[in-house]
Amino acid sequence: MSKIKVLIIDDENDFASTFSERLLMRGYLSCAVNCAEKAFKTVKENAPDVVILDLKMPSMDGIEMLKVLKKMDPSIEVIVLTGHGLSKGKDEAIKHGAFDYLLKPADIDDIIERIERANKKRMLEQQYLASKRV
Amino acid sequence: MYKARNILLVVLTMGAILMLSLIVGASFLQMRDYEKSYSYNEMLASIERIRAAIDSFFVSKVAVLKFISFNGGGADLLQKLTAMSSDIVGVGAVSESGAVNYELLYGSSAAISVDSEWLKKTNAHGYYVSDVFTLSSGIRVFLIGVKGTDFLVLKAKSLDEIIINDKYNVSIVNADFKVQAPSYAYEDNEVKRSLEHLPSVFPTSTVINVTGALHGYVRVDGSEWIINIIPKKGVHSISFVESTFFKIIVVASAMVLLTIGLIVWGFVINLREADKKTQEAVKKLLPFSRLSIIGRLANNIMNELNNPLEIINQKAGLINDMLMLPAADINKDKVVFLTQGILDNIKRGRTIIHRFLKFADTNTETIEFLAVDSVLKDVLVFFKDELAFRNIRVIRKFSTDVPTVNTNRCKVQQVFLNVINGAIKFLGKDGTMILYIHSVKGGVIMIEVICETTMDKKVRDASHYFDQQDEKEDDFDFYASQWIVKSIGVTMDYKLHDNNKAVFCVTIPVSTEEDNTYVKD
Repeated sequence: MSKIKVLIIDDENDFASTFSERLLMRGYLSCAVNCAEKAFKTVKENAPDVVILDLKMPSMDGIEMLKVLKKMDPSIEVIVLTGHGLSKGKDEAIKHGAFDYLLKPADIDDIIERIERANKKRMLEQQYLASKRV
Repeated sequence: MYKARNILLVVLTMGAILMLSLIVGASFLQMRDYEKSYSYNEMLASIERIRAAIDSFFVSKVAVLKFISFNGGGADLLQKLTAMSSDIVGVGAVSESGAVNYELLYGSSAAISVDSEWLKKTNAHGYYVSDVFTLSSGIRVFLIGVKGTDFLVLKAKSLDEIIINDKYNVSIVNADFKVQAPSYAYEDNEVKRSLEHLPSVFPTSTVINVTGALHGYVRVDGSEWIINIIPKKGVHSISFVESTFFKIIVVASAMVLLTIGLIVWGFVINLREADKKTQEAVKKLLPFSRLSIIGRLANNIMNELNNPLEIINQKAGLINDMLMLPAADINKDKVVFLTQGILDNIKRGRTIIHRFLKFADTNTETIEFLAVDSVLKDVLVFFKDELAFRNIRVIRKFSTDVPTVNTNRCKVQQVFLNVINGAIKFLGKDGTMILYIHSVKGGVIMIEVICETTMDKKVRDASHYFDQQDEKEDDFDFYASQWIVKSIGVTMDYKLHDNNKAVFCVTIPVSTEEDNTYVKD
């Protein structure tokens, strides 16, 4: 079974790189970027299975980025991980196709559980689409 | 605001008094004219009526009358005349020798003085003396028929003064039956007339005003008799009318002033009560305002605080993960590096917490010397993420020669928070916020927050934030700020330019004395 590819998008470099390292240690193919341009480039070159996305970032709003990501590849599952606790942000993220919404600081096991579930959902959808094509 | 209302009340009161005075004055003049006209007409009608009666009487009994008068029978003549007309109250006669007989019904002959000396002198000069009054002031008033036709009213201590001194006060009763100046009654001493230049316009009967009382005189043609008429009912003299009107004006004005005073007093009491209630409301409102701002900022702060917490969380987690590895595989340098990262982020979190606590602490309000730029920088930190998220570029242009300000940090901080928050609301997304701090004349520091959006983007007008009448929930902070700034002598202003630029302006006096009337936490 191939490793799950996880892209972490967060302007907090320290968090993104450390978290990416921990995922690597747990057997995921993770990559961290801190801005929208790098994120789009990565998605274009090596589409991730799951994206961990921060909502508040300079240059581009997380919700806007979520929309673009979903437009680029609708199969990508996005988990929003943010410090903002407003229910308005959560509702908007879910409305625009986010798989789940987690508040910082989050336990790594919780995040991994969401990654696994998101990936499973993604695979099921892909299988369904494939069976439909056949 | 209340001062302006008081000024308005005073202006209105003055206006009301002025209007009242004009109305009363105009009414008085109108009334006086009416009264004059009425009195004169009444008197003239009476004179004409009597004159006709006298004429008739004389035609038949002239010889008898002459006899009576020359024999000191004025009283008999008066009695007979009054039997003919109840309007006649006095009869005067001047004999060829200058003797005067005068009879009055009212028995006030004591007021009439006869001076045979001046009578002789006037006759010698060809004047016809009809009457003489001695005024209460001791000055005599002479009524003289000039060359047997016209009447003069003269005022003098003695006849010599009239005859010899032509500058003496002389009043002529003119064709309109009005006493011409100068006269005793009108206190006009400017015009002096010589006896030689008197007009001959006086009719054979007239009404004159002597010392405020009206008298009617009738010359009897072909006779030396002059009928003096003083209406029994009494004619309201002008002076009486004037004095009555004056009293009315005084009383009316006093009543108006009293009424206005009571109204103003009522207003003042209401305003004081309203002011008191407002102050109480503001006292309650300001802590809520602060809580509102704190609540709004809490979300930003939570995000800011959650980031270092998350980093600590991940770094500690990574250390934990590494410690699970075989001892030989543990990279000690990496652990040290991660530990340092944790400590750095603890420090970062602590700074955020301290900053927030410093703002949120409502019990540490003190007057202190503040560097305004430092306070503004502190405030901007709260909006760091918000500004980045909304793609609002901040340009700081802080002048270096700005003095420190002796004021309340907490309140200045809150005003800045409200202004920056308002500026963010104004800009929405994508724009530039230029912050100026500079000293201006008069010991004032000016803080300008200039918000600019792109040319193609119409901005939101923030004028209503500064309108106290418009208490929308959204504008609560600005509404509260009005009271905060008032208490520390700070002013806030706002201007919109060309729909894509707004300037929020705050001025702070270098030295302030805090007025805690409005703000007490």
